[in-house]
Order: sequence, then C-alpha cells, then structure tokens
Amino acid sequence: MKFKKPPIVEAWIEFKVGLTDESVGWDESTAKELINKHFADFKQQEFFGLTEVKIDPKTANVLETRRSFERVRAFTEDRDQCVQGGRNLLVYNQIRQGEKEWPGYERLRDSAFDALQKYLDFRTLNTLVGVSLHYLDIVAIPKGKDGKIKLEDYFTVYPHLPDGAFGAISGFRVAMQLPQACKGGNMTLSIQSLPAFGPSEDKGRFSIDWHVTSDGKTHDVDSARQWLEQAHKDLRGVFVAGFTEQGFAIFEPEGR
Amino acid sequence: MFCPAVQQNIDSVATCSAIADQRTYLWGAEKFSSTLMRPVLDFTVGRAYYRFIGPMTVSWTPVDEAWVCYTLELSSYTGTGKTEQEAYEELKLAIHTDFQRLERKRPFEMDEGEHSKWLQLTSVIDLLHYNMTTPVETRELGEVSFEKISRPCSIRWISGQKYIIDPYRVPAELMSCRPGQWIEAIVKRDPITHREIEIESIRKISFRIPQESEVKTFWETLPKAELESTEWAW
Repeated sequence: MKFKKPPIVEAWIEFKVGLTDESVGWDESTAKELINKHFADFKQQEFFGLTEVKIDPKTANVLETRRSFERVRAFTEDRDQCVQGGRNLLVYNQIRQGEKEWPGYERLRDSAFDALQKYLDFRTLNTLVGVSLHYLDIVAIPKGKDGKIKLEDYFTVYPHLPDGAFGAISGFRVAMQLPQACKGGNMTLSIQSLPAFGPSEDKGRFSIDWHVTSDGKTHDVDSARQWLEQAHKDLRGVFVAGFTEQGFAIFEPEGR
Repeated sequence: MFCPAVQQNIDSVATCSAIADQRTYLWGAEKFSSTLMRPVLDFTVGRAYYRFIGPMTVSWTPVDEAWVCYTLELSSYTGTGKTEQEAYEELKLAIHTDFQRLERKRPFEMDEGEHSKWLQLTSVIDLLHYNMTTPVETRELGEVSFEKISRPCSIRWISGQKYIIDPYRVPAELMSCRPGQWIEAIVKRDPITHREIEIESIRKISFRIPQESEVKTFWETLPKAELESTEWAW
C-alpha cells in the first residue's frame, strides 16, 4: 500500500551488538574515526556523553561520579539520514524532510545493513544481541465544526471512556505491549495526542510509535535480516489494522 | 470523543517515569534513538542561561513544509521554522521572552493567566539557579582616577567604592578618559557578592559632587509646603 501523504516522519533500525570479542575501546575519538572513515557524507556530527552519579540517600553526598562517552550521531547535509554509533549500538535513521517523497522501507533496510557491516568491521565485532525496528508517525486530523474529533472514525485503537462523568478527553498517552503481534519479537504501540501548534490550529495531531524488538535470537547479520523482514511484514499488518477507511483517506492511498 | 481545543498538560506521566528510573528515561528508552526527540538539560539565549530542574524532552515534528518544535513539559510553547534548528531556536525564544517579561513583574502585577504561566515556567526552569548566576546590570556614576600612573587606574563610584581598572577588560573608551573625568557606566555585578564582573559600556558626562555649602543652599531654596495644623492620631 502506497500513500501520497504518508504519516511517517521517522523510521529507524537499531542493532544491539555483542561485546564478547571487543578488543578496541569506545570513546569520542574512535567514534569520530568511524564516521570520518566510513560515513563521509554524514558531516553533521553530535556527541553524547553519559554521567552517572551515585548518591548516598541519607546524606545526599556524591559517592561516585562516572563519565563515559555514549554515542555519536552523524547526519547527512539535508538531515534526511542519520547514523548513530555507540559502544554496543548501531542505529540507522531515515527522517522525512519537507515534501520529499519518503524513500521507503527497502532503502532504510539496505542502508542500515550496509552501515552495520561497516560498524562491525571497524569495531572488529561479530555478534548481534538484538534488532529493533521503529516507525514514528504523526497523524493530523481536521477538527469537526464543533472543534472536536471522533477518534473512532479514524482509529481502530484509541482510548475509550464511558459517556457521562468523564466528559471529553483533551489529551492522552497510551502504550500497549503486543507480544503476539510479531513473530519472534515484542511489539510496543504508543499513541499520544500532541499539543496544539498555535491558537488557530484547526487539526488535532497524534504521534504514533510502532516499535518492534527481536526476542534475542538474532545473533548474526543473516538472522537479523530474516527477522527484520518478518517484523516489517507484521508491523505493516498492524498498521493496516490500526486505521479505519476514513483514517486511511487522510494519507491519500494510491491504487486502492 | 476527543476535544483537542482544551489544552491538557500530561507531563505527569513523563515525570513519574523519570523519577522511577531517570537513567532509563534519559538514555535507555528506545525512543532515545529517535533523532526527533531529545532530553535537554539547559539552554542559553544570548546572555541568559536557563538550567532546568529536570530533563526537558524536546520533540520535533514536520508540519506541512515546516518543522514544529515542542515540549510536553511546557506544552503552551512551540517553535516553528524551516529546519529543526530554526524551530528549536523559536521555541527557546518563546520561552525566553515570556520568562524575561514575567520575571520583571511582582506577583501582584500579574493577571491570572500570567501567574499561571509563571508557575508553569518556574516548575521547569530552576529560578533559584537563575537568580544566583545571572549578573545584575546597573547604571552607575563614577570618577576616573590616574593615581600615580599615566593612564586611568581606578574608578571611584559615587557610592564611595573603588574599582581597579584592568585595561584588557574594560571598554576601550574608558582608557581615553582624563583624570577626574566623570562617567556613566553600565556595570555587570555578581548577584550574590555584588562585586563588579564587567563594565559593559561607558559614557563621559559632565558632573561633580556638590560642596556642602551648595547642598545647603539648594535645600534652603526648595519651596516649603504649608501643612494644615491638625491632630495626628496614630
């Protein structure tokens, strides 16, 4: 199913890497070297550190402070792709920019596995611990004449409260774990309303996160690839089941 | 029925998870890999530095052909721009503008909406830290002295305090002053000790401290008010 106006704003594939054969440490200079050597087009680099502070709950004295380098994020010039590298982590993000056509899952997958191979070779690592696939959608629904939106007209999954005492819902955030929705993985679906962007906003906006994580049996690139195909298929099935016809109409499906 | 017209801050959900396990909330959550969401601990606008009481999650979303930046911790603020960075700058400016406007008001000067906004802002921005770290800017009069060297050496403020001039850290114009020149200066002072941090700018002025006899004459020439004789009941 293809849409003229897909709701997707970002998708990423995240690989958790095993460290049993780690021989080179991970710090900012290593991360810089990884990006400069293998991801030359990703020139906008950001570095994230992590500070852990252990505090005595009785005296509030700091017992221990530990600083470590967490990850590098490197973006392409127009910020439509991002590669993130951590000590045991490789993430590949595809980000929607303006009205550019969404490049699709296939490009994300191929770019992610290409990046993974470069990362594994650079870090001389071989084992994977897990894979996850994440889609972030923003759905904008026009308000009715009364300024309200009937969620059930657009979504098949939505919070429902009985009429009467509760009144209307003005904001919500729900997250569901769906262990049966994906073979060999765990799916989390979160739906959240977003605040109005300005006083004259005529639409209600909803952020929908689709997140699937492998169950830990993907220890090499081939099994990760197989798992990802299945996860994408299952996620697609859940996505299709998540909207009503009226909901789909917002995305302007082609050939339906 | 969903009614988006009424704004509701659902921040409490995020706050609870932050308290439960801040490390997971900040770094371990699967959403941290999103490039459209990040925890922000502080930001700077010009010379103003804002530190937050806890991490504020900033999110971006494309809307039509622009980017909108928002945070659920301060849900009434958004920033729009052509790029993510522009949108973030706009969000910062929106927060900065309201904070600066409201910070200069006393509580009784605020209407209900402003009071509520101020409470919301100060539940996220560390006001105590802001007050203790933001220099106080004052306009002051002082007289330049050369003492025993051939260039401006110190300023005697009208309060009587003396400031030793470091030629490398003062406006260049100050070094052109003659002995005894009076100046009006914009001075940045430490909010706690009130010591000078920096002289931002100076303006030469014509001024002198009047002599005691002149003050006396001036006082005597002031018109006298005739008060009604009445009984004072305290």
